[in-house]
Order: sequence, then C-alpha cells, then structure tokens
Amino acid sequence: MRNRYYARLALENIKKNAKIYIPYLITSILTAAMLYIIRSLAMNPDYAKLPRGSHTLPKIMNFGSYVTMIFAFIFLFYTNSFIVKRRRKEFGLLNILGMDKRHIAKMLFIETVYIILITLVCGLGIGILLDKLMFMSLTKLIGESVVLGFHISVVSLIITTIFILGTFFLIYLNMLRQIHLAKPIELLSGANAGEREPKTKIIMTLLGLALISVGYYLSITVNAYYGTDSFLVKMFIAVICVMIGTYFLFMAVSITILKLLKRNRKYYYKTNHFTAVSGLLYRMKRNAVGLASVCILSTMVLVMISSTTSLYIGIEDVIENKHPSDVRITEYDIEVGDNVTEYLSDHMDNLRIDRLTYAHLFFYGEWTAPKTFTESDYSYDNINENYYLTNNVESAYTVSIYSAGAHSILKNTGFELADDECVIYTNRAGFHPDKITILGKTFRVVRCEYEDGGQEYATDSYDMILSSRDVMLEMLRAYNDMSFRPNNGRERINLYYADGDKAQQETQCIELLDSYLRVHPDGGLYYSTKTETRDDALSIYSGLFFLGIFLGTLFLMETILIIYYKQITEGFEDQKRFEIMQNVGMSLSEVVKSIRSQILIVFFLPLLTAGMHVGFAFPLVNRMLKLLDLDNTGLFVICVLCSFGAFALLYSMIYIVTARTYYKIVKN
Amino acid sequence: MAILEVSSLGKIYTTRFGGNKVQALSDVSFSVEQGEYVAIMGESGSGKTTLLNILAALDKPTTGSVLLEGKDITKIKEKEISAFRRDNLGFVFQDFNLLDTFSIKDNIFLPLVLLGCGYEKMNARLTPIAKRLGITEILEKYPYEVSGGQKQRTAVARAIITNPKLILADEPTGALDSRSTDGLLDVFADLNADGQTILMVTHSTKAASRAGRVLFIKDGSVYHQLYRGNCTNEGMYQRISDTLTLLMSGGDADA
Repeated sequence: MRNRYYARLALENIKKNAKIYIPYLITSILTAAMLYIIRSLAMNPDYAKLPRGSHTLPKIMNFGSYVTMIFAFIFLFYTNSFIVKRRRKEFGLLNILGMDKRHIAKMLFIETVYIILITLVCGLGIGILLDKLMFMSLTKLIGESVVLGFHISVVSLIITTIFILGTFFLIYLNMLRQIHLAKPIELLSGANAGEREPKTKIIMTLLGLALISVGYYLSITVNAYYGTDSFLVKMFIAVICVMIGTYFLFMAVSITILKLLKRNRKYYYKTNHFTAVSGLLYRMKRNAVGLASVCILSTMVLVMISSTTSLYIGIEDVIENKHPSDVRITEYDIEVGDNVTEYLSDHMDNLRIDRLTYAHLFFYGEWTAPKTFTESDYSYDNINENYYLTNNVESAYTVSIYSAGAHSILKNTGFELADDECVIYTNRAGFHPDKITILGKTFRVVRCEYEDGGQEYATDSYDMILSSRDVMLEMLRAYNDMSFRPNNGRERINLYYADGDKAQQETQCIELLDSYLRVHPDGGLYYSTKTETRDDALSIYSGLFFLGIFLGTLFLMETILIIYYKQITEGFEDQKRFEIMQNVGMSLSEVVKSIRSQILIVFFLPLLTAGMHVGFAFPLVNRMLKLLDLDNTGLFVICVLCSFGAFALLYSMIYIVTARTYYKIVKN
Repeated sequence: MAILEVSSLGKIYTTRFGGNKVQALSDVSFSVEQGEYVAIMGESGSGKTTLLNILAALDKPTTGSVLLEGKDITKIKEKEISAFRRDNLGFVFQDFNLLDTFSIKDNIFLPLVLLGCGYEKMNARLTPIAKRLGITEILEKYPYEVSGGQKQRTAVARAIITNPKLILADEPTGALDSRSTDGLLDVFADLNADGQTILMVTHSTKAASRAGRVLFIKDGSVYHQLYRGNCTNEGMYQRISDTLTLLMSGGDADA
C-alpha cells in the first residue's frame, strides 16, 4: 500500500518536472541505443561475408564503443547534476513537510528505476531497429553491397544493460550523497543561496593564458619538429594544455577581463555596458564550467568530423601516396634479388615491371657532433654503439638511397650526376650541407631540398639520390658490413614496380610471384598490391569516418542538452531581475535587449572559442593527416570550413529553439 | 497647486477564462498637493495595489484619469512610459528590489545610468544623498552583505537620486524590523520636510501615523481621510487606529 504511494509519487515527480526530465530521458535513451549499436557493430557476424574490412572494422568499432562508454558515463552524470540542482528546493520542502531523508531516498530510488526501465526499453528497442541500418551504411561506406540478415546481439544487450544499470546506480548514490549532506533549510533555499561577486583569480588567469599559448604554439610550430622530437607526444601535450586552458579561460580569464572593464568607469557607466558587464560577470561565474565543456565538445566534434571526412574523401590520395604502383615487390637480399630479376626477366616488358633499386637504410643514434660541426661538415659515419643499444626510436633517422634512374621513374625527376655527387631531399628544415660523408664515402651535395611530405614524420628522413645503381649497391654493401645494424641488418631492399593498367597484368604478376615463392619459400621477397592497400585504407578510413560521425552525434547531443539546461537555469535566475529592472524604469524592450545581448555572448562564446581552437589546431591535425598519408591541405581546409559552417548553423538553431524556452520562463 | 489629481478612477479585471469580472477600483478620486506626504491604507484586496500600479503607470485604468502636473499619465504611449517613469517617479518597494549583481553604489546609479549621466555627475549627486541616508560606509558593498534597513535606504537613495516629482512607496516598512522602520520613517519625514512629495501605501498604522494625510480605501473606493492638522504622531496613531477599528467592524461608507 505504502509502496504504491511511493511509486505514484515518483511517477508524479517525473511528470511534474517534465521540462527537465524529458530531455534527460531522450539523452539517456539515445545513449543506450548508440551504445548498443556500436557494441553490436563491433561483433556483427556479417563482417565475415564482406570481402574487405572484416579485420579492421570490428577493431575500430570496439575502440569506439569504449570511447562511447566513457563519454556517455560523464555526460549522464553531468546532466543529472542539473536536475538535482533544480530539484533541491522540492527535496527541502518534502523534508520539512515530514518526509525523512530515508523516504526521499526511497522515492528517488523508485524514480531511478523508472528512468532505467524507460531508458532500457526504448533505448534497446531503438538500438535494435537502427542497428541494421547502421551496418548497411557502414558497408555502403566501404563500397560493398548490402549484406542481408538481421541479428540481435545478445552480448551487446547485456553489456548495454549492465552499463546503464551501473551508471544510474552511481548517479543515484551521488544524489543521495548530495541530499544527505545538506540541511533542509539549505535544500529549501536551493539555487538562490547568496551569491558573491566573483573574485579575480590572477594565477588562474595567467596559467590559463599560458596553457593556451603553449598549446597553440606547439600546434603552429608543428612543422619545425623533426627527428628527435616526437610528434605524437607534442600533440598530446598540446591537446591537454588547450583543454585545461579552456577551463581556466572561461573560469578566470573571462572574469578578469570583465573586472577590468568594470574598473574603467568611462566604459562601465554607459547605458549599454552597465547592466551587461555586471550581468555577464555573474553569468560567467555560474556557467564557466558548462561553457568550457561545450567549447571543448564543439572543438572535438569539429576536429573529428573534419579530419575523418577529409580522410574519407581523400582516400584516393592516400592510396596513391601509400602505394604508387599496382604491385610492389620488395626483396631484402641483394643476391637473392638478382635471382628474382633473372626469374622475372622474361616478363618485365610484358608486365611493365621496372626494376628500381633503392635502399632504405635505418640508423639509430644521434647526431654526434652537434656543437662543433660546420655547414660543410655533415657526416653520417658516427653510428655510436651506445646510441644503438639504447634502442631509442626517438633518436633514429632513416636514409633512403636511390639511383638517379630509379628516382626519375618514381618521382619524375631526371638528375644526371657524377659518381661523387648526390641530391638530397629531407624533412629537416635548414639542412644545407655542401658535402656529406656517409658510410665512409663522401659526396658533394649538388642540390638539397626541404620536402615536407613522405611518411617518416617521427624521424629525420633523407632521400639521397646517387648517380647509378652500382654506386648505390656499393653503399649497401658498406651498410651490410657495419657492425651495428638495426633491424637485424635486413634493410637491403630492392624494389620492383609493376605499373600495369589492366587487372589482367596484375593477376599475372601475382601468379608469377606466387609460383616463385612456392619454389623458394625463403626467397627473401614479399609483395603488396594496390588493391590490397585500397581495401585496407577503405576499411580503416570508412570505419574512422563512421566513428567520427557517430561520436560527433553523441557529443552534439550532449552539447544541445547542456545549452538547454543552461537556458532554463538562466531563465529562472533572470525572472526576478527582469521584474526589478522594469520597476526601476527600464522598458520591457530595453530589458529584453540588454539581456539578449548577454545571453548571446554567453552562448556564442564557446562556439567562437571552439572556432579559434580549430583554427590553431589546423597545422597539428593537418600534420596528423599527412602521417596517415593524406597530403591534401586544400581538401582539409574545405572540410574544416564546411564542418564549422554546418556546426555553427546547427548551434544557432539549437540556440534559437532553446531561447524560446528561456523567454517563456522569463516573461512568465 | 495639486501635483497629482486622480479623478473617478475605476478598474475592472476580466479573468482569463470566461467572463468573470472583478471590480478592483470602483470610483477613486483624490488629489495630492506639492510637498504633501500622503499615506493610503486599506485591507488586503481593497484595491491599494491596483491603485499604486495605475499611479506608477504600470497598469491602465478602465475609467477615469490620473494627472501628474496636468499631464494624463493614463494616456501616455506605451513606448514613452518607461522614460516618463524614469523622469518623474521614484519607487520604494517592500522587498527592496535591489539587483544582486550590482554593488550598493551601482544600484543607486542605475536610473542615472539609464538617463545617460556621466560618472562624475552621478558621484556628485550621490555624495550628499548617501551622507543624509547614512549609507556612505556601505557604498562598495553588495546587497547580500548589508541589513534590511540599509537595503531599504539604498532603495530610497535610488528613488530620490533622479529628483522625482513624486515618490511612490509600496509597503516600504513591510520587511523591516522596528528599529529600521523608525529609521526609514525618519528619512521619509526628513525628505518631506525638504519639500519632497511622497505617496505611500501601507498596512502599518505606525508608518501611516507619520504622514500628513491618510486615505482609507475600502472595496475599491476612498472610504475616509484624516488630516494631521496640529496632531502629534501619537495622536495621529490613535485616530488611525480608531478609524481602522471602525473600518473593520463593518462600518459602511454610506452609513
């Protein structure tokens, strides 16, 4: 009997607070649905029916499901805090009317049960319905025809259920903690407990500015990193700096600026500025954390969507970069290589195979004479045993050696060099030696060019072009005789490029190589084809693209929810203020104008800051894309601009819709 | 010369759903002379608040007119009303109506800033007022840091800083303890002695006893009025009490 009373009370509570509970429920339902979908995509049995992507896609989706879980947990917790804040007064009233905290706990428990039930039933239902659609879009993305069949992933259902139960249980415990800690009178006064004017936090302000500057600096100077500086580490540092910096920016820097404006009497005591500055001061204080979160979420959405879209659209570029020829044959022994050449010799013309020899040498160690060297004194002789033993990848560099002939086929150059001359392409800026000594042989550097491309971003890399194949082989032999050879000294590579136009040529070439490998199982050769590369790239980048959109949707949903709750909270806070300002002699339209400008600043500041972050992150992300073999700055620029435009439009729409709720509350 | 002339004011509210009509004011007429201090008393629901709202140009009457220095405020265009109120009226409310985002000083400056005054001018006006009201010490503080009496004196300072023709006070002592009440009433008496016209709506016999004239409103019309004449505050208090007793015990205006 009594239990039924609680059940009814709990249901009434949710209904009564529909304005805040419905968006919360929608979010939790969609979160559950998304979690089910991504989990199910990670283990869909139909991958086996796909000719490509069956290995990579489950891995990517599996990774995505963990990211989804982490953020879903944070989001649900965070959203709930808004609800508790809004309902404090209600709890206080119930407490004073004679309801024990124990009873309130019971009521809340039943409410939580309702929410879990609604979430699971609707969320899993929607998840199951949309799962197939998502799988079809994914297969469409990787360019495969639709696979028939419908599955309900029981494991995913269980995982999602456990996740939702766990999250809401923790949320429930957190609510209990907040209620138990508070005295009834505190609960009653709830939201509008005496508010102090925010203090200027000098240290936090400086720290915020410093962190953001460091983050931006690291991003802008990204092209100056070479070799010993690890790109990924710097990127990680930059992201962390900007994230923390953003919180400080909103919490302290904004307040410091407003305080400075306030101190300037000429500026402050103007009709337009007076209410705006003081109003903003409090708004920023109340909303700093939420706005910073919106800003970071927006930045993440923008970066994720623009970069994954670039990768997906630019996939042909990537494939060209990764695998310029149709078939690439790699050998790791010069002598065996000659055998292969002989074996293939009859078919070279027919299959349009070019024998291009280049060696890819890999050195561990560090520049040994950094203090005393002169411009003309570069030498690569100093392979130091100690450095090698440290096995420190950060202090590694690679030298690829080409014959002039090979290079002109590969890169369309046509150098004519003497035996003691060389041309150098490097990703190390400011490298202009006259002479170079490597493996005991000295070359005159005819030309040295900075080239920010290629794949060896984590290390210094040097492409060295020598006059002929013979000179090159001489260098290789010297490398082989070296006592400390990284990679077990197997870095002796001959390459063939088969660049036939027709699929038939490719098939023939592969058949030939396979039959050679059957006779010489240890033949010291392996090959790769463009088709394979394309399949791999398609499945990886489609997977990433899908994940980008998927997570982008999740983050966007949370952004919408935060903005909505902020508008409601602001609305209730401003109700009284509206009234007072009118009483003091402002007309309704003046009050609306003043408050609207404040609200606009508050809500569009995160978007503007996110735009700035994305702008400064551009070099960093562009570099990361190059690392993933996409070297197309123009495409990335377009993707960033489009993403930002679309996002800004969506953001404004969200604002307009939620602002209506705000004005409804305020004018009430 | 009468600064305010209210003649046959009537107000009928229509409830939102259906045609239930409520007569808040039936026929109110009175006038206030320049420099007068008038208190309006009446039961809850007698129409005091409606009357004050109309005088403050916050609400429009159904019939009748309100002349402030000969100008009918019920005929002022919607757009000009705020400016009119800013220029001519000062308000003191029961719950102070201070903005918690402003310091005491900025709260007082608010109407002047809206008028577009410069800081130096505002400060020059504030200094004597703050001294007179005894709030010089707390100017830099915030509303949540000061007492109720100080808040109300801040509200008075805000009301008089524009040199309004008329101060309208709505239950100004309603939220104050007895000491603060005395202090505030002294302030009002002091302002009135300097020629400030004040119209105060109140429940409090004590507050009303300090006024020069007391109007009693019952069922939407003026029921009775008392002039102070040469009466002391105590004598006035006694007369008001008697009138209220009469009012309560069901005395009818027509009787």
